[in-house]
Amino acid sequence: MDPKGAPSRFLEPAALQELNNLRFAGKRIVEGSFAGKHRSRMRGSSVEFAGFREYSPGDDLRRLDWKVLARTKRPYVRTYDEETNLSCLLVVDTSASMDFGARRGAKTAADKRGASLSKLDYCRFLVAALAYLIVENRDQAGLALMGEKLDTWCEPGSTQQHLDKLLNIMQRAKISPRTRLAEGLATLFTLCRRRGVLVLVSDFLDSDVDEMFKAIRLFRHRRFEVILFHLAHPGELELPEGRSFKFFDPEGGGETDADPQQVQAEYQKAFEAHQTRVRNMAIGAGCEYQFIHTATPYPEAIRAYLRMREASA
Amino acid sequence: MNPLHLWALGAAGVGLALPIAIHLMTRPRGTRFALPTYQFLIAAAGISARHNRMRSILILTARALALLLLALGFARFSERTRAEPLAGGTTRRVIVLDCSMSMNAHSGGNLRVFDQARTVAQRLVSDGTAQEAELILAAQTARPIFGQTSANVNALQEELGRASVQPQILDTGAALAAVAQSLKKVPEGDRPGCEVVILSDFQRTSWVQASFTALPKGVRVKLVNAREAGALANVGVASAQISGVAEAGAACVALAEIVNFSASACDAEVELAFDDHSWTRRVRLGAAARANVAFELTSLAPGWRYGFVRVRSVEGIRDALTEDNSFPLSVYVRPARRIVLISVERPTEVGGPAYFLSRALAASPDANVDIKRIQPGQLDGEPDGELLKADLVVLANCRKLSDGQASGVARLLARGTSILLIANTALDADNLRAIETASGAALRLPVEFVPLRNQAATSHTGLSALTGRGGGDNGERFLVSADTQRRPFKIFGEALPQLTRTLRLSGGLGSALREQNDAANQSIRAKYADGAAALVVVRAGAGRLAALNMNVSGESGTLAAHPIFVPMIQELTQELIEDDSANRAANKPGRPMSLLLPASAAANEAEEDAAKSAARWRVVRADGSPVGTGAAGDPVFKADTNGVTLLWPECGAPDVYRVERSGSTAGVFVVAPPVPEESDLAALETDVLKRRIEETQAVSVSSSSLDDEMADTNKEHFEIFFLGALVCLFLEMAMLKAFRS
Repeated sequence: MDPKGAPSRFLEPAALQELNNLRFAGKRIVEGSFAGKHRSRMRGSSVEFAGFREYSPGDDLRRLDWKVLARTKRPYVRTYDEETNLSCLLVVDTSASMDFGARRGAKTAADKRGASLSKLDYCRFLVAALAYLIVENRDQAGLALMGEKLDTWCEPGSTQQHLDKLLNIMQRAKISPRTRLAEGLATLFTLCRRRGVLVLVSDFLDSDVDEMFKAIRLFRHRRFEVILFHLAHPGELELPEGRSFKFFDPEGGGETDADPQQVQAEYQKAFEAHQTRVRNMAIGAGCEYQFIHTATPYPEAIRAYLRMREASA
Repeated sequence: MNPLHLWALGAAGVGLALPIAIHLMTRPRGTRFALPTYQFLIAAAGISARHNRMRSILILTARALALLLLALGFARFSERTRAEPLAGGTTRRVIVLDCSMSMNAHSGGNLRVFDQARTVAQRLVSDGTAQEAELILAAQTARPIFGQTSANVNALQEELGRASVQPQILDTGAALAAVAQSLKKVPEGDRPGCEVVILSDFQRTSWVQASFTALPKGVRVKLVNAREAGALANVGVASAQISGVAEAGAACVALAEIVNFSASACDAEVELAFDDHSWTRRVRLGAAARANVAFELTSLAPGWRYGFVRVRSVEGIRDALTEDNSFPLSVYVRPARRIVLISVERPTEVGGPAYFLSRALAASPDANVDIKRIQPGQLDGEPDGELLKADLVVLANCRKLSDGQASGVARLLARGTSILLIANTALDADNLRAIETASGAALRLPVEFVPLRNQAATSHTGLSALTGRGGGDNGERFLVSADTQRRPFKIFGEALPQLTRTLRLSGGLGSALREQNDAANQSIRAKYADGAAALVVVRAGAGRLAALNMNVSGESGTLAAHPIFVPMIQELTQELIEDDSANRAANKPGRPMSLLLPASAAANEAEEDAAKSAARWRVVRADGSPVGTGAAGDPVFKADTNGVTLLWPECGAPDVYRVERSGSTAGVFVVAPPVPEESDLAALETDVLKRRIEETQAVSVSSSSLDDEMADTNKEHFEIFFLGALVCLFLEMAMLKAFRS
């Protein structure tokens, strides 16, 4: 796809240019409906020869290697590694906590990068770029928006129209007042017909992280490759300057007066404890975990992640 | 609740709203900040929204409570706002409000005891617990407002508002009698519904001998001590008087007695302001001690002189009562000592009693003495000018006085002229009896003078002559006892026995004691060895009579030539002419008094119409303001044959009062403060009185303190409120600290 023709503001040509040479590939053998660049766990008539095995009744006679039969008088059939496309589910957390960090007048990621973007906007840019990369590789990209529940679900597709559709959905994503990813993921699990890659982009400020990981483990049991992008805004890492603030939970958890200077240290400890907990639980569940600071430009974050992934593959 | 403090309740309401407003206005109003990681903030700060709300509520409560307590403290709020109605059907309440001088004392909170009592009385009158009430303002006299209980509460409130402390003592008998009179018409069956409330400081001197027998049986009595607990210190002038004969050119001394009625020593500065001069002394007063302060007065001009002894300042204690710090005194300074010597002896005759007496009388060291000799016949009829102006009339060798002459002497005594009678012969004994008869009840000699056995009894009254001559066989008589604590022998002191050892007396009269009592003992100043009275001094009317039972002629005995003769006569003269009418200090506020004006001032009054005469007299204060507005209780003048008498049914405030006749001062008298009766502020426990009443009367008695009755003016309650407020403020600070805000 020509970056210049991007239909959405979340596809920035400059950023796409940076990502042009990158490829989002599954680490494992994937199970796709269409031929693609990814190795399929289904063996069959495909391009890449895998080996021979003795014929057994029921085998497709078209795979019988007549030359081997002629030389050895024994029937062998050819086996091939089937090459198929990647099915990637992009799951976006649209809860109210993801709306943190928006600054008026910040229209693009380049405009006041990072700090001026809300986590959700950052997520939009990030997911749009990933979707672009996926579709560009003739893989399938699906999209799920969830807050309290699964709000929007778009099955994976690999066409340009499908990408446009995903971008459109993302652009119109609405904020959900609460975060309950566990329920949305469980619903999504029932809707997925093919295994693939699940990319969950969230701040993981879920009231019940344990439940969320239970749902993630469902995907893992089904051999999904799960990648967790943990977003954090600079405004969350450090409390605002000043002495008199009335802090309130955007998801309705209450409000309180506090002096940031007095609680800063303890707050940071609590935040780091949370991050560590999510990371440990992700690793424990066999997921890939990537902490992304929204101050980091998303192309850079994607590139860094993909290179790391490539290196570890 | 005391209605006087309604304003304070309004303030309390505002005060209650104020902390809420302050709290709302001053609570932390930080910038609202949406923080997705709110849960980490809560975990970090260790607080929660619930804690936050709790903090706000607790702080607001503490603030509101603090201000409320302060407001209550200032409003003197009483939890007994709504008093319980009296039990027993129809309810009547008689309130006795002590208005005596001691109620003017300032208690610990610098409030007058009277003001506190009045506040309680106002509440008792109008709290609605009694259907009818009566108020008795009690001091020297008890003044009931209605004479019986009445539902006219407004009138009682007005009277309470006008009530003031009188500089008088408290006559508890009069007050309780007034209570009985107020409840006299109440049927016996209704008496359980009657309550007598006595609001007083229960000063020991006033209440220790109070008799409650006059209280009607069946009523309930409530004793309310209007004074806060704790002793009150006081310093006052107990007395002030001029000592000695005030005569032009002679020195005299003003003596003041200062009393410390407290348990702590103190220093006082005492001032005598007298006749446009002032003198100041500092005196150290021990605990519960008295001190005499003397001021020597010299070169006093003739005429009436007066002034005040004042305690100007007291150091070491807090003088609770200042009304007793001033004591008036006055004295008449004679231009010359005028003596009329009545005798049948001719002035040129030498050696007789009159001869020696005239020389002894004239031998004053510092006074001008003017001695006139007249014959006894001049005593007949109305006294002439010489006699009326005389300071002393001496009767010596007068022979037998006629009844008219004896009456003349009696009139002089009644008018205040002192008489010295030389009793030597049986005729003199008759003369004394005649004067005594003419004086009536005004004169009562403690002894009956009778001639000695060897004397011719010319007019015996049936009494037998005394046996013996009281001395040696040669007719000599000896003084064996003399009152050295009093004039005229006081000046001789311890030397008197030695002096009298050489004194040989002869002649004189025997005497028979009429009755043995203290007054008689005090009147007989000296006795012979035979028990006969040698010198008798008694008060007679406004004057005094001295009977010197001695032969003062040079023919017999050694008296006239003895060294004690002249000083004894001089001392006796001074005692007799000493004008103590102004120094007696017997006139007390609220009590009746009568004053016979000096004979010289009333010289011509008897000749005129009594009503016209009295109209010319008036009483003015020391500052010149007239006394009396024609109301009952004001001073009145009564003219009769003895002269003009000032009658004042209820003396006014302590002060110096001048009696003016046609603009000129005819006399001066003082009304002294009721010291020490009202100055000793020691209080009697109400429980003691309660027990006494219960023992003597079939009444129900309860006692309460000011703290109980007037919690709204109670300092302790105020302190509790104040401390409570402070505790609340500290609590608020602690909460702010605890909540880290």
